[in-house]
Amino acid sequence: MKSSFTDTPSAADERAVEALVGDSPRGERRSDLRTRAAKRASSWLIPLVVVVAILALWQLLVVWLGLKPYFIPSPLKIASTFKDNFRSIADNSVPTIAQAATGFAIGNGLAVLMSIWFVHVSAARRALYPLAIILQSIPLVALAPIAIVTLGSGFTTKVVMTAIISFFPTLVNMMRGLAAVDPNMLQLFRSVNASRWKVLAKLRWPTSLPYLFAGLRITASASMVGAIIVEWISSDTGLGYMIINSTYQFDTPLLWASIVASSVLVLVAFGLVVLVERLLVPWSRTAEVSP
Amino acid sequence: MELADVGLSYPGRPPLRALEGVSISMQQGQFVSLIGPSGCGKSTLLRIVAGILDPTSGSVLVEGDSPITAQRAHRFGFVFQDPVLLPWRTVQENVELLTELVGLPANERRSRAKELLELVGLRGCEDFRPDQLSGGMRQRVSIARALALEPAILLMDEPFSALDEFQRELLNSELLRIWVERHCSVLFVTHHIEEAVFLSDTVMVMSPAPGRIIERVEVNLPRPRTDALRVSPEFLQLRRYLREVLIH
Repeated sequence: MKSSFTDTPSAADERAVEALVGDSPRGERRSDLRTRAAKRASSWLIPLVVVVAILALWQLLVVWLGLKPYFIPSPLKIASTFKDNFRSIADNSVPTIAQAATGFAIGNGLAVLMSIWFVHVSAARRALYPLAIILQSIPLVALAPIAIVTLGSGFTTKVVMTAIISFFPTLVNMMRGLAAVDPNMLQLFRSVNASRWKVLAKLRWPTSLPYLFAGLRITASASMVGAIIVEWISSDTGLGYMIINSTYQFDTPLLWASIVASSVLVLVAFGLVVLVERLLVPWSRTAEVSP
Repeated sequence: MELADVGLSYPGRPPLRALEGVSISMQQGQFVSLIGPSGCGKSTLLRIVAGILDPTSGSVLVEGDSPITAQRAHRFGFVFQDPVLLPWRTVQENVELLTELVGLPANERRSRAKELLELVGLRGCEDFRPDQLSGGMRQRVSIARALALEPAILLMDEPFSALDEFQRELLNSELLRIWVERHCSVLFVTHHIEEAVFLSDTVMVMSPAPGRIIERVEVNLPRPRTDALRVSPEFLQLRRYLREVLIH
């Protein structure tokens, strides 16, 4: 802390502002920096300890009870299978990631454009929003055969399926986000005759970003899961195919290894969305609930 | 500014009468408060003056023009109960919002915002974000924003009601200082008697719905008004009188 004897003019100015204004925005930050860092460390540490403990218990139980690997493989067995089959797991991840990413981009892109259209043209919303809800109400596993019959069992079908999965959560969130503007703020924009375009660009769009990312978080993992499910139904590559194939061949360690790979990919996808959100929407972080 | 026999009723059976026969005349540079119980239509009246709502009877003239025309000419500055700042913009950028929307050149916007932030006592806070400020500081930003287009009339809708008593009194004095420096008129909605007396030239007392002006109280206390005034006998007497009018 700076001694009050060595006051620079700028520090004096700052305190004049503080005195005038009542409280300082800077004062409270430094004091609990340390406790916050400790809290952050423990929020990582505790789940990590729990996961390690569960894995250790699992390993011990499998060894003590002498369970066969085709029934339940031990964590170490899964790890070694993962390592031995890394090439094949990586190769099969590529099409799954490609499908999920393409579907994610298309589905979310359409959802964003359509939500903007719906918010501005109420006739479009009234005509098409119920249709979107109906589409959402059809279970994916029921929709997949229809898509395969009409579109074949290629890349297109899988992308269409993951796009449909990605579409709805983002559409709903964006409709809410674009409408979540403060009526008084809207009044300020109207008082200077701001065009709809300016209201969208400078008010509705930034207001909706936290909602958009809420949608993206859901669809990032949903599109990965969707891509895997579609591969179950019809495919000869991909993580979904690996899961089904290793099940049929009673290669349980490989089944577990591919499940681990899938869940790691889902986590990475989710993490990427969170990271981009932190960069693009820093103001929504304060509203976030800490775990 | 002239309001003549303004009334507003919402259609229905029976029609819901929100305002009835409200006449107010306000001189350039005056500070006028509207006070009344909640739900009496104070805010509605403010919206009519601003041209956001149309009255169902009577007429409103702002410097000889209709409220809509006055709004288009940026003659109003708005301060709401909540500061309604944009969280992704810095303090400076928030003050620049309206000047940016009307297309003022960037250097002009910047120098105006700087000057206004200085005026409201926020020099050095230009680059903070709204969530780093206290409630009182945020309301200062919203006052600076309201002044950015150099309006003739400030319309303030219970701007200090979310603040604690100390912040409120501090901002009362600050508002008077700003009002004197900017030579604007203020139409100030409040439900706080002491605040109305301290700030105003004229206090308009409204009745419960349907809102009418039931009393017009001239506050002839000397200006500039300081905190010492709040405990002077004349002040307390006016306060007591308004209280009685409002309760009966």
